[in-house]
Amino acid sequence: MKKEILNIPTPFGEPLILYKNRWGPENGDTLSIVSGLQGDRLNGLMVASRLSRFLNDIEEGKESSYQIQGTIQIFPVVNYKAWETGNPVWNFDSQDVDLTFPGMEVGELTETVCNTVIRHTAESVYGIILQTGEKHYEDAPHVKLIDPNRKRRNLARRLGLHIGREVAESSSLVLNLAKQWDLMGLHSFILSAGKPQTYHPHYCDLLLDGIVNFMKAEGLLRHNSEKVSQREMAFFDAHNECPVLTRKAGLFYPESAIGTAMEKGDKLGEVRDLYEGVVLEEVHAPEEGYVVTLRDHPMVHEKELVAVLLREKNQRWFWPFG
Amino acid sequence: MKTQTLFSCASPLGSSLKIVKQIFSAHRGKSVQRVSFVSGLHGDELEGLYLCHRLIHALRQIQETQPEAFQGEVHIYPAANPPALNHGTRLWPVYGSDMNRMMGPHPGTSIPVQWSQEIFEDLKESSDLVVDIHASNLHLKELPQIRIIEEFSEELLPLALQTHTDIIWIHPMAGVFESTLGYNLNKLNVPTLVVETGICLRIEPDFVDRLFHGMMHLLHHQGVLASLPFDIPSAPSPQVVYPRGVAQASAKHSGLFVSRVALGQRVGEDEFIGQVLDPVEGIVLEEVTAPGNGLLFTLREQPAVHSGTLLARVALDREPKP
Repeated sequence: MKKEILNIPTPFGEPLILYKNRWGPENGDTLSIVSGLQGDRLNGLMVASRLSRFLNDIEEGKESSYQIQGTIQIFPVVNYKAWETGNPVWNFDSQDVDLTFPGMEVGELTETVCNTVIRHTAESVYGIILQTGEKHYEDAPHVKLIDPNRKRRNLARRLGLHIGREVAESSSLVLNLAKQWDLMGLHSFILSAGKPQTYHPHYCDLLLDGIVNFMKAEGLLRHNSEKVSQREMAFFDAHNECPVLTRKAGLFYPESAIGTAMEKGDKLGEVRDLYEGVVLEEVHAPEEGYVVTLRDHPMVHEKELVAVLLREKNQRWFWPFG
Repeated sequence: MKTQTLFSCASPLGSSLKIVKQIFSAHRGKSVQRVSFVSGLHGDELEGLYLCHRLIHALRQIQETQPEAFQGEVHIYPAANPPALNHGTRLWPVYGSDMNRMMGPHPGTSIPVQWSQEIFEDLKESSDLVVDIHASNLHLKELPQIRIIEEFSEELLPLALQTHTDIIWIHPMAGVFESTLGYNLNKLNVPTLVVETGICLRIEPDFVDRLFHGMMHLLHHQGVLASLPFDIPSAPSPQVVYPRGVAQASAKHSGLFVSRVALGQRVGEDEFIGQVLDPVEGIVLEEVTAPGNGLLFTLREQPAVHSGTLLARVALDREPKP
């Protein structure tokens, strides 16, 4: 149930209170679900809320065919201060929460918030982070994995999204929650769908359905009659991503959609001059691939990233056999 | 002096973004040493820009009057993040990206990533020694200091001593440094000194004067300049502090911090340095005292504080016994 995990007085008014929701036994295998790392990622917030209601309904006997068997925790809001402003970060410290983990038990506010989440999730077996595309980009629904070994790819398949993607190593990765979980031994998954500042009901349905399926598959949740659905997933290593950059600066008009497969040479969109409207450049797929990310903001510089393709020829399929 | 444009890309609005560096070459062509100065990675840190101005101004004069004094090369990147500098923001506008969290191995192809990688590669290729100049954030004011991660101290301390900054702080490694310019260049055996001074969005001319003199001494010590101009004074030796030699005072309450000391002042243990106040109820929440005897080298400037917020750091006269 809803439980206070951090209560810090603020200089001028109401205290800052962070909550988690918790269901199931004290010592069960635990799944922790985190959303709201940035203050503008609405899909995760909506999924967290809907999932909480669903689990409450089970607990209250309103979903009588389900039983909660494992421990499930949901942390709907992490960067509380950013949510107050609707910006990805809190303007007071300009600190991206997902570049602040593991934080500090006693430190600046954002560090303390991050450390609170770490302490409350440290004993979990699984961790799911709900995300969208980066600012100005839209993502097709997919799951991202750190250190994607065979077990994790199989686990990811149970999340019901058709695309799996490896998180590339980077010098700042160690500051991400997913990497910190990985270092603590959790199986961590980032579910990304849609774009910041926008609620996308269909994507939320997909994520919710996938998480419930995952919980059933891992024995955290039991249904009297429904079987766990085993789904196929195409998995792409980090080096199989193909970024598409503009050659001209202007306004980008997409002519493709996320989640679609492109042939080499297919048109992704065009760049038009801001002042005169003339077409400066047609942007084409440099190779065959699946559009996982597409630019949402029309203003683009020269050399701007407008799409990420996952190279179809290098995908690895995971079929529902086991 | 030669001006070089490292990277440019056209903007949709019609202008272009450019990284410019100024190069002072060795008089006889063969350089004994190549020293680079970079500032403005964070667009609200202006102290470094003023320091670069002082250096460029002085070096131009030397080149005009004493060209034979140049035995080595100096590369100056005065404004490493012009988009953020133009908007007075720490982060790259539009994306909200921190350039000093994108150095070293980093995936992604957004403009800030490309830009950061370009600067990193150029510094790596064209420097035997780098000085990366930062001001503090919006919250804290710092005495001019050089910060060195412990693992690099053997090589960097002798170099740092040549700069005559007030403080040289040798501190432990933390995850947050892994994606910074300084850490990654040092990892690649390009010695890099990280300067912190003052506070963002302001210029402390006295601090920059001291740093300017120190950097001229560094160029002289390194053999880049055969002699120093007559108006560069000799400077006192810095105070070197190790991790246990720094004590900090943090707020125990949330409220308004009003300091009653000056940065750079010597303080005694338990000496009164300020108060945390409740502005709504009109009560004093906390009397803040110095955490030890020594030099006050960091002081909170932004008065709004939460419990846990750093208020002051003291470079201790004596390290506490383990």
